[in-house]
Amino acid sequence: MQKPKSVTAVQLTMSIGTSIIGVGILAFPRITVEYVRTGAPFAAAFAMLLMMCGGIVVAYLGKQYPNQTIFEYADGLVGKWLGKLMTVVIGCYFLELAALASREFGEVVVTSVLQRTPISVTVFVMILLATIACRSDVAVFSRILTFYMPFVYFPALIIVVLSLKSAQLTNLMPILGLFHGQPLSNITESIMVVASLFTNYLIVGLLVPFMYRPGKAIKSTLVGMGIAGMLYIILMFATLSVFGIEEMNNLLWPTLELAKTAALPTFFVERLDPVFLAVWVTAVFSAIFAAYYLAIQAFGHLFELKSHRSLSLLAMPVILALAKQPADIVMLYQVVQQVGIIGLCLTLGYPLILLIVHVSKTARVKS
Amino acid sequence: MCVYEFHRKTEVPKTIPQWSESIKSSRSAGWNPLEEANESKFTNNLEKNLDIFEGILGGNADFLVRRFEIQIRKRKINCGLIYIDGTTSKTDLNDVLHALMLDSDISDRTRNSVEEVVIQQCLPYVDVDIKYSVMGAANWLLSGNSLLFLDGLEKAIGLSTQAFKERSISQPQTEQVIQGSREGFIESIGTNISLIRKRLRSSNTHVELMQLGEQTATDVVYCYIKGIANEDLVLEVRNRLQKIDTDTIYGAGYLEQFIEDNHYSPFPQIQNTERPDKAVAAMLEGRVVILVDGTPFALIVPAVFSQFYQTTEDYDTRFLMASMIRGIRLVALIFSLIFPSLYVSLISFNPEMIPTKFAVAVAGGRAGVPFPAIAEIFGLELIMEILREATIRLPQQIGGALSIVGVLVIGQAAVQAGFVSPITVVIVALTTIGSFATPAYNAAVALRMLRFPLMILAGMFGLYGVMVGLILIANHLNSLESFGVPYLSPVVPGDKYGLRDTIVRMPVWSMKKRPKHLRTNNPNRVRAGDVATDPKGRPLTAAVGTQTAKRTERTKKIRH
Repeated sequence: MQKPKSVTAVQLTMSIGTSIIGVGILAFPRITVEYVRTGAPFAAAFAMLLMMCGGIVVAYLGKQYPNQTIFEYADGLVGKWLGKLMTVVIGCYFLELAALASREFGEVVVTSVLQRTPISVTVFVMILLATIACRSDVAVFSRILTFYMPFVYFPALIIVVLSLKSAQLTNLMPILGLFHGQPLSNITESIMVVASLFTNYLIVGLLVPFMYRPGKAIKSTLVGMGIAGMLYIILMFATLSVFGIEEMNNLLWPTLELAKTAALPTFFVERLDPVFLAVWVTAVFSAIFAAYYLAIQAFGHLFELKSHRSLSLLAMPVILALAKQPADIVMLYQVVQQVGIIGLCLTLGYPLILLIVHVSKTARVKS
Repeated sequence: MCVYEFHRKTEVPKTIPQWSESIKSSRSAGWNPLEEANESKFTNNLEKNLDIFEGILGGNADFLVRRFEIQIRKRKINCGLIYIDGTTSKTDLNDVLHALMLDSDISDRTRNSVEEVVIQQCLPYVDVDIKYSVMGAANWLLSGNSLLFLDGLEKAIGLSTQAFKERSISQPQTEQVIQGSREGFIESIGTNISLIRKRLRSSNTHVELMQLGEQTATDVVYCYIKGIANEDLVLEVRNRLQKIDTDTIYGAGYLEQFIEDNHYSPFPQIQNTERPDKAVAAMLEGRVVILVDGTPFALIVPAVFSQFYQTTEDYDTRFLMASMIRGIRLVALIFSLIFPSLYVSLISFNPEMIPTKFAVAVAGGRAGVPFPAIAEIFGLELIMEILREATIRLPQQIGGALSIVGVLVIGQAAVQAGFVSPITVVIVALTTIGSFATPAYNAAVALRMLRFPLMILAGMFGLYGVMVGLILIANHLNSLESFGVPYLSPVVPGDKYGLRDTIVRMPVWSMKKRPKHLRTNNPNRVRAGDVATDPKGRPLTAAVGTQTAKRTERTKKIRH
């Protein structure tokens, strides 16, 4: 079935770039540094390259089936039953991802700005925002993500620039720390931690059939993921050079601390971190929105619904319940890591399987 | 006096007769004499024809019949001229009678019918229209025209003698400019069309008429430029207009509510303007302009958000200044939306952001104030809105006095009494002035009203709440569409040519393409085959114009 064409290549790039940057941006430098010390920036770079492979696979498949979403052509490739099963699994993963992201951000807000507000309120507000937004169609979905791109990237880059004055090059040494002195398990672990931040790239599978020119999908995907990856790498360098390894281990959200060090000498506001945190609500929102929307589209496909609008309301209590699950912030980060690694296998492995089936099928047809 | 030519056009869309038929079938309860007379035709008996109208309009004090005789081929013919007093031009009617009664003794044998003789030789009059059905004739009559009946003729001869009272063209009240045209639309649609035609002398200009409102039969006209406006857009406009099922169209603002996309949105999805030059510019961009009789405002569809902070003057000013002024206007627009809520969240949630020296001043000002910041500013903003509303309703002479009383006296007294802090008054004043800087009134109202929920959110969650509110607004803006065009285009979805005329206005010579989001038939403003150049004659960019140039070259080759 022909889908209404409404997404340009630039929109795809910007949507991916926005959806990948989420609440993980606040904590990931600490977790990565815990594993590989000064090798962290390179771990981020490798994670980006790894996920780009996934991006290529999904975009390539999208090009082969330019009128179908990833859920639709998966049914055709691996069979209806297996396809539906995987759709459910992916849907559940993204529901959980959205829930954890809103919980994580709720914790950030409650800890740093609204100390007396119950966490359930901040989580609820975030999920409500996403739920309302999820009632829109795919064209609006990509437009919203595109619109928020500058609000996600500029504050982060401004923070980096403003905090440069307290950066120390020695904190980065040894720059190639990833390649000597680190156990292999730590290296893979750190790469997976950063890579799991990229799982939202699966929106490519959703957006490509709505593109005016699906042929441009691969390039757009790579650029989009590259931009997001560059931001992660830059932030990694910035936090590491400002705080160093030892201090980083004591900071729960190093990127937020980076914002606190950023200050304009003569300006009418004295501290900038509340502003950055406020602007980052857009980043967090867009990441939750992307995950939530993917989940809802997955379930919409599962139940063969014509419209996913009502589904977003139905999923809301589920997400709220999932967000309540981790008992405290320590538990939360453990769950985030475990779920992240499951999601990584899912979002990388499943498209790979689809690609293999697709290649073997077309090969059989040709011979 | 205004005259419509388009009554006679063959491709006039669905008009009243078909309409009332569907209405009649849908609701039989409402009785309307016009509906009964719908199907009936005229007879060749003068008295019977006049009786039909006596039945429809008899008893009205202003419904008049003038009987007289004329002589054609030495034969006396009884005639009846019917008109509605006050809506017709007496001078015109006198001319008609003069011609028919005094100069009509014609013994020409070459013509076949009396009707032809009368029209061709006796009526020194431009606008004559034969009416066959009673319904059509009645509509014609009620639009201020008159009908001439001849004994023995099964038709009515319609004379366009319409002469409604209208005011003269004056300066637009709501969209004043320093440099630029001083002409504004008026209430008469005929004059408005002539104002557009005056500026747009292209044969591609299309003006199509329909009458809406079962009782008011208001003339509604939509204008576009054929070959530029997208046909689907024109069709969509026509469809939406035709779907309107109501008995009254009060004016453009009333019509707007029938055809807009999202009725629950606070944002206007249709632009209105009082300026003919703005309407013409919109048509040249590929938009459709809708005029409604009785309103000095034209509707422009589709409308996107960026139009609401642009003025015609931006294009009359040099581009650098125009861009800067636009930037200032945009800042003012954002001010009017978020300033009070930012203030609330800084004072109540993030006082650490305020520099120490300033914080002391703020705290000193707020020392005696008994209310929390949110209550203080919410109340004051509310009072400001009340003052504004009151000033609009008041006569001009009193209005000025009241605003001085409101702003100066109340503000000063409230500060001295310790109800509000001086800085709150400053904030409220800035917000209000900011909202005046938005050129489009309807968009300014939307943003003004949205600042109240934002203030409440700020009072609850501080900066986080403001951001949540702004995200809600941004999501809504992204989901809006006006006649199929995304509301935030050309920013999202991006269009590099459209972006030349958003926050900055690039030099006019660089804007050689129409906005892409309007999907115009002719995307280039330059002549086909010409390569757009900058003032020094260098080709501007490879993309502009070259495509058409290539195409013409190709066609030339094919022809050779």
